[in-house]
Amino acid sequence: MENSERQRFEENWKSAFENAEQSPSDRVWWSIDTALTNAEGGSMRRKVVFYKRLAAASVVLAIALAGSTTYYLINEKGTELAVTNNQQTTTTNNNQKETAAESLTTTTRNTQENTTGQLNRESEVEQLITKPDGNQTQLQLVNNQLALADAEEKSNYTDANQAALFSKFDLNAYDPLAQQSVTDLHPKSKVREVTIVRKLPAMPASMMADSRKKKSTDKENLWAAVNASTGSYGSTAYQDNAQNFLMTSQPSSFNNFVSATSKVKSKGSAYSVGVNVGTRLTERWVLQGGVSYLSQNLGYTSNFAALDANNSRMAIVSEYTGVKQNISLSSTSPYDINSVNELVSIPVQAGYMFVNRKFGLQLNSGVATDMFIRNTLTDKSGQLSSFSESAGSDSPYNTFSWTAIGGTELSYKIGSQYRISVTPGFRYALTPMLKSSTESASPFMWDMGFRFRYILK
Amino acid sequence: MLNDQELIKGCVKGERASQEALYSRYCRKMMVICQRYAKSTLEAEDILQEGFIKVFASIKTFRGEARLDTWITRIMINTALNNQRQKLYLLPMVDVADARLHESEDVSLAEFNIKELIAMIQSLPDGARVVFNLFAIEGYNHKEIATMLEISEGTSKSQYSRAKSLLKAKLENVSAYGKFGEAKI
Repeated sequence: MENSERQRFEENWKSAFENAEQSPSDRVWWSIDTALTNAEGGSMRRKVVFYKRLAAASVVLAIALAGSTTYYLINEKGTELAVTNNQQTTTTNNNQKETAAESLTTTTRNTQENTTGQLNRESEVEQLITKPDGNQTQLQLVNNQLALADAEEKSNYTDANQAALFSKFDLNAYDPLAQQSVTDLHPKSKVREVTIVRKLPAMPASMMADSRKKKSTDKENLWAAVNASTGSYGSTAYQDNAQNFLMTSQPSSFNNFVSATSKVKSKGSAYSVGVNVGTRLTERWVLQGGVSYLSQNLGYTSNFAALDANNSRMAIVSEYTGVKQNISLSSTSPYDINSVNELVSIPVQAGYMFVNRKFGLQLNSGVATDMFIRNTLTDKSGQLSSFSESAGSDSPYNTFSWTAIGGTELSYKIGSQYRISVTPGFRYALTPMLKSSTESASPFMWDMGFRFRYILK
Repeated sequence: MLNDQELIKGCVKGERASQEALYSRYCRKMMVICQRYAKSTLEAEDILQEGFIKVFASIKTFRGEARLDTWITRIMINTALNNQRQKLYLLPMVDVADARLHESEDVSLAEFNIKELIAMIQSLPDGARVVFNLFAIEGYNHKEIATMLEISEGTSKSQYSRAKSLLKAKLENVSAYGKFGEAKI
């Protein structure tokens, strides 16, 4: 009796509340809304801090790349000045020599005294060359004498490092005050180097927890991408190819053999477009490959031209003269040439994904096989015809060359199928592009690219 | 109109529209539950608010093994119990032998509206109110209630007995006067 009553009592209450509803006041949702907003704000702030660190790391990487490039370029600039000195002394025209000396004086203030010595030597050169029996032997004598003079001049510097410091800080080598300043720049004692190593987590702990919960369906296992990049291209070794050639149409005052010079500028530009595919090997490691078209642009200054079958003059540089035996040359006043190398590059890269979430951070490294297509030389003034050379046995360019590539990939996932990235990176030539054995240049290129990735599965 | 699964997906993504829609769909039902456990409407709304924030924070863990409203109800009850826990420590330890069940004539609840019934429950002492809700309406047995509230099974029974006798007295009182408003609950 009691049990049945209790059961009926409870059932009555339970059924009374079964579909019961009461409206809460509006303030409840407002409070929930505010609380959710605050919670999202906190989470967002944590993410912002994390990605700020990522951005800072990327900037540091970019600055390091730019700094190392600049360092190489500045070093090569010093070589350029020394080479210019030698070049000017071998010029046979008196007026050209004076102009060169003036140029040298204005561009190298710190070597003013040296320039005076240089001019003295040039006078000796002049005397030798204006002798009635001037010929190639005399020119060689001049060159030998100049080489000895340069060696003597170098020996005047008792401290090679000090000379470098004069050059570095743009100080006059014979200025006592400057010498004092340079002396002060030398550290009195060795500074002990201290390396501070600070290990930072790849990501905040909260995000690590989230990544552990990530579903396998979120993985990107195979993707295809289109990419484009542009950047700076340059040779790490300054090239100044001065060779003696027989000019077919030289002024009557010229000797039979004169110096044909083409000088490459140390910095140019480059761009590339291409497609690639990638696949995930493990949770963090990926493999990427593809094909891209690469265009590298460098400037030259040349004082000679090539003659084609119709006796029309074409822009040309020294790299071709050693390879093409039957080429006819003509002397010109110095003119600027735009040299464009076109290549097809097949990169293969391994990548490590530090972060693979909505935002991604990936480091890539690998090699690329570059197939040379064509080199086109164009006179910037438009007075000379363009000269174009493809790969081949009589081409000064190697058909295949190898390049080390690397960089970072900062990406953002859009929806479930797309990811866009910015890809700062570099390319460093492992094998020379030119066949010439004297070629010591290792072209270095750093660029900033954009990549649009479609996730296949 | 979005179904529960679509609402859940939206809430998992943190979409505010989905969260508001989910709240709108279940807030009235949950409000009644909160009112049963709370002493007042204001307190019930606080529990409701805290409960829904927990729902949105942990909706990623909802696996669909139970109905969504069942899952939300469980969260609301846990929130209410946490809210009442301090008071539950003060439950009087009444020996079960002393808790005598009143036997009286059956009183129908059909003549009362939901507000009146909620008011009756809210008038119960804290411990008795919680145990009554868990036993009579949610359907837990005394052993489960004892575990949930960290009290003895005997205490749960005595609290329930007390709640039941109080409610019966109130129901009889109201029925005797005919009008809910004229009786003192």
